[in-house]
Amino acid sequence: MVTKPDQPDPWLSAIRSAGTLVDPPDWVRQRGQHLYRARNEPRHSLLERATAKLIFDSRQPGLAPVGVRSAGTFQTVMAGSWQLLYRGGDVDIDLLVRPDQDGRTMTVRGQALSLIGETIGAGSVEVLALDHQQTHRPAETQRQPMMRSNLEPSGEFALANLERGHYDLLIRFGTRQIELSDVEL
Amino acid sequence: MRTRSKAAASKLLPYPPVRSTSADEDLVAACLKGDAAAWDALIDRYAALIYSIPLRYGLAEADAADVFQAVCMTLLDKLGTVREPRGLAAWLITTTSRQSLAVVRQRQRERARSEQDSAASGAADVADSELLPEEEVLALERALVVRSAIAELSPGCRRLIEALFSDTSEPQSYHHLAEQLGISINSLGPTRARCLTQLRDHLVAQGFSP
Repeated sequence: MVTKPDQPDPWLSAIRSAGTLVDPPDWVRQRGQHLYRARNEPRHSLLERATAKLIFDSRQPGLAPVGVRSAGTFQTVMAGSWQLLYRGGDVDIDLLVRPDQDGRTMTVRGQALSLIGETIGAGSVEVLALDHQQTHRPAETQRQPMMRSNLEPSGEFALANLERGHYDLLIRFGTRQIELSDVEL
Repeated sequence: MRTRSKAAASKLLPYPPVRSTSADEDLVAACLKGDAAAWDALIDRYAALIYSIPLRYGLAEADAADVFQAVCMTLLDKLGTVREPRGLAAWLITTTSRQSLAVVRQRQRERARSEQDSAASGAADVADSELLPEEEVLALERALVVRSAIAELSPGCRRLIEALFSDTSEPQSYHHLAEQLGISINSLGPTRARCLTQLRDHLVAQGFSP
C-alpha cells in the first residue's frame, strides 16, 4: 500500500483509534462483575452480619488491597481529605474523610451502596472507639457507641467531630449489620 | 467538557487480555441461564466502552466508576428484554451517555448551589450538556471493534501492535521492542507486517473498513 506522507494510512489510524477507549481500574470492573453473582445468591431473612473488608485507601495507592490491583481512582478527592472503600457482602461503603480546620478532628461522609441495586433504606451508624492498649476487644454488647448517626434512605450518613484514632463502625439497615473494623482516621 | 484527564489518558492500554470469541447474543443467552462466567465476559468486553463515556463527558474517575456500576446494574435488569443483542454496543452507548449526562447535570447543580457567583458559568455548562454527537458514537463503536479484533490476535501480535500504535506508551526502540518480544530485530518488520495483516483480516471479517 502506498500512502502520501501527509496522508496517514487509514488502517493505522483505525488501529490507533482503539486507544481512545479507557480501561477502568480492576476494582471497577470486578464490582460490575460481582453484581451478577450477588443478585443470584440466596438471601437470608434472619439478621445478616458481615464484616467489611477495606478494598481501597486513597492514602496508599501503591498497596494492592483485596480485589484491587490498580488503585488511584479516588486521587481526585479534595486535598487533605482521603477516601476509603469497604465491601461487606454485596454492599460497598464509601467513606470520604476530611480533616476539620482545628486539625484535631475529622468529618466523615459516607454512603452505603448495594452492589445489586437494592435500596439500602433508613438505618443507623454507630461509632465505637478502639483502644489498642487493651489486649482484648470487649464484646460488642459491652461496648457503648461514642457516636450515633442516622443512615438516610439513600444510604448516606455523616459523622462529625471525630478525633484522630481507630474506630469500629456498625452500619445497620433492614436485617443487615455491616461492621467496619479498625477504621483509622 | 469532554476532555480526558491526563490520568485517564495514561490508562489507554493494554487491550483486554482475554479473547472474546462468543457473540453477544450467546453471552446474553448464557447469562439468562445463570452462567456467571458469561456475565464476566460481557463486562470484560464492554468495560472500556462503558468507562470511557463518562470520561468523555468530563466526569472525574470516581463519577465514571459510579456510572459504570449503574450501567452494569441497568444491563443486568434489562438482560431479559434485550431484543437485539447484536446492537448491544449501541444500547450501552446510549444508556451510558444518559447516565453520564444525569451525573454531569447533578454536579452542575451542586456547583451552582455552592458557588453563589457561578450562575452565568453554570448556564453555559448546561447548554453544553447533551448526548454525544453521532460521529462520536460511531467513533466509539469503531474503536470497540478494533479493540476486539486486537484482542483476537496472538499474544505476541497483540503486544507488538500495542507497542507500535499506542500514543501513550513510552517510545521504544526497535532493538528494545525486539528484545521484549523475544524475536530478532531482523524479523521485527516481517512480524509487524504479518500481525497487521492478521488484524486487517479480523477487521474485514467483521465488516470494518477504515
